[in-house]
Amino acid sequence: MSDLIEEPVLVDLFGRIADDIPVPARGAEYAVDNIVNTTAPGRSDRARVVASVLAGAAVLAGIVLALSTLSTTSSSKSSSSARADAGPPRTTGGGRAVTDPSVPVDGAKIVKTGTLDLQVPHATLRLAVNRVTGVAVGLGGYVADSKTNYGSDPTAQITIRVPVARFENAITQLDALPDVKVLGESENGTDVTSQVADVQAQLAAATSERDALLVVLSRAQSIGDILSVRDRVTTAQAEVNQLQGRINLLDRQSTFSSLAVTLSERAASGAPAVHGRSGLAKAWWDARHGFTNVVEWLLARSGAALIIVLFALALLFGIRYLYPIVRRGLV
Amino acid sequence: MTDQGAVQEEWVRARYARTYRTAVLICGNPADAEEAVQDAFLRAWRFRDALPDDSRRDAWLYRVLVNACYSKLRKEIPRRERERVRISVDADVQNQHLTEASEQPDRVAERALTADALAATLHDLPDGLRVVVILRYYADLSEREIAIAIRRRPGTVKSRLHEARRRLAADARLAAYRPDAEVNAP
Repeated sequence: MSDLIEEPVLVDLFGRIADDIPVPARGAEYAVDNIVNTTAPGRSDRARVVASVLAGAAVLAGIVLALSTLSTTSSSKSSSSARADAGPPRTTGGGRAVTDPSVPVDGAKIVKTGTLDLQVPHATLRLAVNRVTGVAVGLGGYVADSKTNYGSDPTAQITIRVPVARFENAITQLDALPDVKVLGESENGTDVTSQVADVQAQLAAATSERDALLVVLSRAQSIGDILSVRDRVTTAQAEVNQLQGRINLLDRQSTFSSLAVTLSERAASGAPAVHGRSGLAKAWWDARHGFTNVVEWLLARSGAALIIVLFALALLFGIRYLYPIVRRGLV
Repeated sequence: MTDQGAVQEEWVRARYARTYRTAVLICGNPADAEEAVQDAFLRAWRFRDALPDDSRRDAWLYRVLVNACYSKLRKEIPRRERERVRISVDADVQNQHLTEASEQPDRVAERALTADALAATLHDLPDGLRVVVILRYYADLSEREIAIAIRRRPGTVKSRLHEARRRLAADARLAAYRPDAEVNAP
């Protein structure tokens, strides 16, 4: 420690050289002017914070959207590749385009429904049900109803709801499930735009009438008048509720299309010739088939979880790296 | 002038000279230092009310200043081309020295030599060491305040200070200031 220059000496040395550095005569004045001219009630700060937050949100939204698209694409590719592995391609009863369907751009409300009758290999009904569920979830939808029978004649009726814009995509993906034969298929689309407008007009009229009746009720003097008007208010309110319910229903139907999927198993004799294999060939086929099924199931089930995890990672990244940048920008 | 304006002016004027000289010592040239200081005062003022006491406010001011200086050091000019802090470059200071020289020529000459030696030694220090030693021995910040200013742990500040002092002491140009020197500098 004795080799070091002592602190008081250093303070003195630094003071001496610094004191000889000339200070701009008007520097402090300029600094004050800068502060006065550019710190108008913190508006710029808020604008920068808002801009930073919006930019961050846009980046995250872009990541989520990209991942969602990627997930859908990979799911479709996975199904296609699995199908290629499984054997010769099957007919699907129509050359459907795989591209996303056109979405109404004029604000039209379309209610889409459809049915799909699929036949799956023997003893694979449970797996097929999982795959159908996976397709619905992967497209941002859900299973609205499900009835399965794994008895002597295994069948399943599943109603899935998927966003209208992805209805065609859902059918395409279900058609492309491995080892599935399409027995029947139907689609129906109804434009309910005018119906919605009509019901909305009725709702407005009913609401006005109810409100007017409420005013009358508030001014009623006699018991008879009160009872009479109250009954009419109750009737008007019921009509309002009913109309609002219809609007809500049409909104839901035009937001999520409904697809009824019927699954049935082929007879045992119709199963692939795998049972005819033996030894290493059979073991290899079983292993490959099992691996593919498990991976597909995991991908289908983990779609949403994967996005959440990636979103959380993006958020952590934002907090760790973007926040200091934003903070530095404010300082 | 409003009360707020008076507070701003008082706050800036009380700190301007020391802050500016600190910036010159760190940046190595007056032009960069002036820009860094103006930027630092502006930014530090925005957060002034959010900080509880003058000590932390000053630490925050120096933090902004150090960032601004680092930014200048990174993008302006390569280190080897940086101008050394030479107190004799300014004409006014030269005149002042000449005036003093007529009275105490030996002392003024020694003073200039000391300043040159320290400036040269400082110039040779890495940025990380130079900044902490300037903040400690010129800006008079505590180790904790320096830690805030350079966004490092107090332990890091302590070790950097020790290393900087070791290097200053090892420099032959400042040998006269070591405790074991026979004749200490004035």
